[in-house]
Amino acid sequence: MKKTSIFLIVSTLMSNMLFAQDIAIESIGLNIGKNNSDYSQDDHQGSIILGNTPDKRFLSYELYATLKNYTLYSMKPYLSVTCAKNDELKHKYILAGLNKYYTPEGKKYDFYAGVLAGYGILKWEYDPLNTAKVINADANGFIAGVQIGVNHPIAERVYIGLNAKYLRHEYATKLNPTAGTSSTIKHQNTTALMIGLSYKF
Amino acid sequence: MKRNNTILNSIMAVVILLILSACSGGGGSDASFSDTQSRESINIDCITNPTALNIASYIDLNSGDTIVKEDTNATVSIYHNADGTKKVCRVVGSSYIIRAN
Repeated sequence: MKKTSIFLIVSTLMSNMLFAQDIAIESIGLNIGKNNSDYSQDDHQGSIILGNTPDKRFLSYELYATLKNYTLYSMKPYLSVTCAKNDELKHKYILAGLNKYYTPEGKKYDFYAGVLAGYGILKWEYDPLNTAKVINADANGFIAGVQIGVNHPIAERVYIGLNAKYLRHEYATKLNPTAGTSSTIKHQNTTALMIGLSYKF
Repeated sequence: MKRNNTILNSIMAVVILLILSACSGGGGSDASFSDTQSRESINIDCITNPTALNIASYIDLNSGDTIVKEDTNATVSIYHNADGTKKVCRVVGSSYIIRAN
């Protein structure tokens, strides 16, 4: 319920911003690539040696849009929704940010770098204590990050792009197999390297 | 001068976002796993200089099994056999195995 409310609030704010500022979509794109989400385990009482440690690597898909008719410090708005998954975990997040673009003189491609903020959910597909399949066990929290990328035209209005992101978050998973033992798994950062296509309107 | 302010503001925005994300405890809710039913106590003590027969009497450890040490100083020994099987015994303290489903 809380997660749904946060997603609704963020979506409403974004859509209000678009209408209020007469902002329009400049381009949309789809990226596919690999995410790597690092985690650490802190034992508080006793200790837990997991027989099946969670996989850090994810296959990820990102749908994004860049906006026009609005700039802040000559940076353009960027919005995206990403779903990353492996056999054990699903990581979904929405991001909003600002990108600064740079096109080398006489070249067709452009570079960009930007800052990102958003909200994400890390959903467990199994119980890390006993590997049983689980439903509705997830950690969530705010995300901040940076990204860099490059776009190159391959046809009229169509671009191929390469994108890299570094995201900071703190998803906590508490393990309490008995009253006397407790431990926390923290997923604290995600790096993403993706390739994709975009269409400029 | 204006360009310098723009760069400075951008850097500050990044720093503030990173601090908010990293130091605020995430701002969300946690996942939690507890009350595991399928436990097996590691109650066979390790023998100094064990024979193959001694090791065979230790507790089987299967792929995906989790070991929980109830005391901070609890210690177990895990033997990896040539045939790929694993055995576990207690050195000191209280520990148990959560069996993989």
